[in-house]
Amino acid sequence: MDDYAIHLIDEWKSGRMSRRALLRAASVAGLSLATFRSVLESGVARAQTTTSSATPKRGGTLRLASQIPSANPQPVTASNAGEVFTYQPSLEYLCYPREDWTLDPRLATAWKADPSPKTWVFTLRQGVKWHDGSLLTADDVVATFERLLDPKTGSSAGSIYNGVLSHGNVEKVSDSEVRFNLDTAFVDFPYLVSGFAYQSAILPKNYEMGSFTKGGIGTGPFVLKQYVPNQHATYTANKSYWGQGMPYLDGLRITYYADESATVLGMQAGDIDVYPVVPLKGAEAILNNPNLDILRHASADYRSVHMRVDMAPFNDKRVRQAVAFCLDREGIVKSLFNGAAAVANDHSFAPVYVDTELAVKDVPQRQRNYDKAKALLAEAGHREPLKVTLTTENLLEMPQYAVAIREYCKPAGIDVTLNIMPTQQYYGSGSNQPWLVVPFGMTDWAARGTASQAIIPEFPCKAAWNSAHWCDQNFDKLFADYNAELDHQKRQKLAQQLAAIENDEVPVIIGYWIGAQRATTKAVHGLAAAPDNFIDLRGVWLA
Amino acid sequence: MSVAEPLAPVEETVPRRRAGELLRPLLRSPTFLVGSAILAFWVLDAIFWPAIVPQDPQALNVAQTLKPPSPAHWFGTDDLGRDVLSRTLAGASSTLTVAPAATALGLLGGTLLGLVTGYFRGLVDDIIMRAVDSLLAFPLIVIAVLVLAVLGPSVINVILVIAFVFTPIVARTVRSAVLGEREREYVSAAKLLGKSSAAIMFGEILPNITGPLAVEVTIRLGYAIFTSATLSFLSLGIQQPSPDWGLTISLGRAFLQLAPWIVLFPAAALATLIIAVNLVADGLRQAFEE
Repeated sequence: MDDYAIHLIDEWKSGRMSRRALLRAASVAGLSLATFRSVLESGVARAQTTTSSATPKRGGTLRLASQIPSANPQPVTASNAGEVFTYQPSLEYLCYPREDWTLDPRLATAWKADPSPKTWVFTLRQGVKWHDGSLLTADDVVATFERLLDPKTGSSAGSIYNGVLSHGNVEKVSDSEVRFNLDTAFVDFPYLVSGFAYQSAILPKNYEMGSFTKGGIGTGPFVLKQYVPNQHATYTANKSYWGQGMPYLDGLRITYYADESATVLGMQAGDIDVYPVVPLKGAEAILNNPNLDILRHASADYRSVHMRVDMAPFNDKRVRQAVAFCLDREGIVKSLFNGAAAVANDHSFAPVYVDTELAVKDVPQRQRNYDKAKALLAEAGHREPLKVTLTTENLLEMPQYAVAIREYCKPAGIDVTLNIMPTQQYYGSGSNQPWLVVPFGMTDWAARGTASQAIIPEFPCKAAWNSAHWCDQNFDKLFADYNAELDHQKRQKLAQQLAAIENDEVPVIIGYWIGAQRATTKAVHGLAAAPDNFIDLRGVWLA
Repeated sequence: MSVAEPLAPVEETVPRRRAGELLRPLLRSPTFLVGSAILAFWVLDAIFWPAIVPQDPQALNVAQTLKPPSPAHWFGTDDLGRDVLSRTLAGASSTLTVAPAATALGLLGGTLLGLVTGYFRGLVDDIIMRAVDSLLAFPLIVIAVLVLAVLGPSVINVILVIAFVFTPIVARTVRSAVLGEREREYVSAAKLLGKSSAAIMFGEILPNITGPLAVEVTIRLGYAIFTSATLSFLSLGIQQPSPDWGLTISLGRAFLQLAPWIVLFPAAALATLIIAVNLVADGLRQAFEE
């Protein structure tokens, strides 16, 4: 056990760190979790949110539902869940998120940073075979990241590594080690080579763009046999998979569904074993079905209600705060999610992320307060009803949330007109991307691995998707410190400061954190409830 | 003037029907009366709903979501706790704004085209009617969806699109009616009097084809209501937070198994309105045929 490990154990023993925080911190630092667990698990039963702990049974084909891939599935260019679900059974990451947001070593067995922490070295698992029988090498790993970072490949991972890792800075140290030379110190880096950076699945060095769907590519537990666009994909078990005894299933079949209603009906009809991401709105029929198991877990999907700080009326902080004070967050969580979401506080530090306890606890929760909202508007010189247009996309619960915002704003004298566009139109392309330019908009954001990963694309001055056009030099500086700080206590303090700035400045309203929920038949065992935007099927079995 | 004198009685021979002649069979027709009564109810509701709804149709009540019908909420509540009765009553106004406006526009365009092609015949007729034929070959809803996908959803666009697809249909009906009328004596007489083509079309022929036109209008109105609801259902028409029936049915279908009342009542309202309009159309047609 090294110094840092001993420090973490001390923090935990003294009560300054929760058990969960300790495991997370240890997993980020690449420390042996077995050691930590043995310390922790003396008499403490582990939380069991997966579907079973019984002895796995072998055989059977699992039937999985997925949304339709929006493009030819492959990690480099993936952008929707349909693509990710299609390649994740076959491909693997250096590490993979567990249900409690800690990291499980997969193609890497360990990782270590220098004290800065700007340089990270990952040790690769030995003897891992590609589906064609050849061995996984450090060259494959280097090539995978260089491909993602190369602007010429049209990779969709740019926003993840922007400002953290650049093309040309991933190198082979030895046959079993790969070094990442970061642009900046970044404590949470292992999350950026885990399933949370879903594009970072390891591909062979000679991977030809677009060839994943031809089948037979990957090191993962399942070999892709056939991919029929818009219909289905089939897989067989990888007999030479490195994981002891895994996979348990003989095969896998993913059926693509055009919309949620069709998937719900498929689940009710018994055509599907696993519905990996059950919407919190619109799937009530299966949530109340006694023949199905519903796996629930806290998560951090959210809706970013941005207000452009460079345009009237939102260039006045008081107006942004006034809008935020109108929301009845408990009411929204109850009516939109039937309670299966958690109230959020207009900052990025979701309770499910590592090192956020202090930020969650110490930044006072913003509650609905019309007196304050009206006073703020009056101070800002808005005595007449303020007229604004909220633009959003017609997706999931978002139109309903927009309707709720409109109603909640009325009593404060804010007259909100809604402009609800089809999702494609809202995102647009090229010079026409409404979500990045409208003065008042609402966008869907998926849960990330860490708060830092969530902040990078949206909040720093140079963020690629900074819809609010917000820029706070102090925030950016503190954020750099946060990303460089290894000490758990100091990191918590910095997180609390960052959260307080976001909460006070309100470039975006974050009203709730949506929980993860999956539906399975009673026969499915060994499936983790979260993170729900991905799926790890190697330990799944059918009773 | 000397030529005009002996021809003056021609006006009398115009086979125009008096209002009274029409009204009598209409008042005797139960079809027409029932249809009119229901239609009148919805029209009055569309105008006066703010005065009759028991609650604000937009008011959220997070403590009362997905509640079944009860004395407090006769039609139950939706997923945001809004009163379904109030929303059903308020939902008539968007439908009864879009559909009549679209029908009127379609009628205007179709009548113009039909009069011109039917009256002049020849090359103009050939060109316009072939264009109309090719438009009619497309299913109405497909054209509407295509156009709205390009223009973007809005109330004005929905009105324009429905009017656009109705124009050729009305044009064809009007043209057939005009073809029958243009050979009649009163038209020849008007020509002899030296009246302009426009005067003959609008002053002589048009008043004589009001029968088929009235029937066509009511049939079109029924289709316009249906099309507007369909487009709202497909998220291409009226947008949230409108309590529009088509939109409400679309949003509520996710709760169909859990809270069917969210869909049931607006769907029933939509059905009664369309049936009412069709009953009126049937009544009118019978009256004109008598």
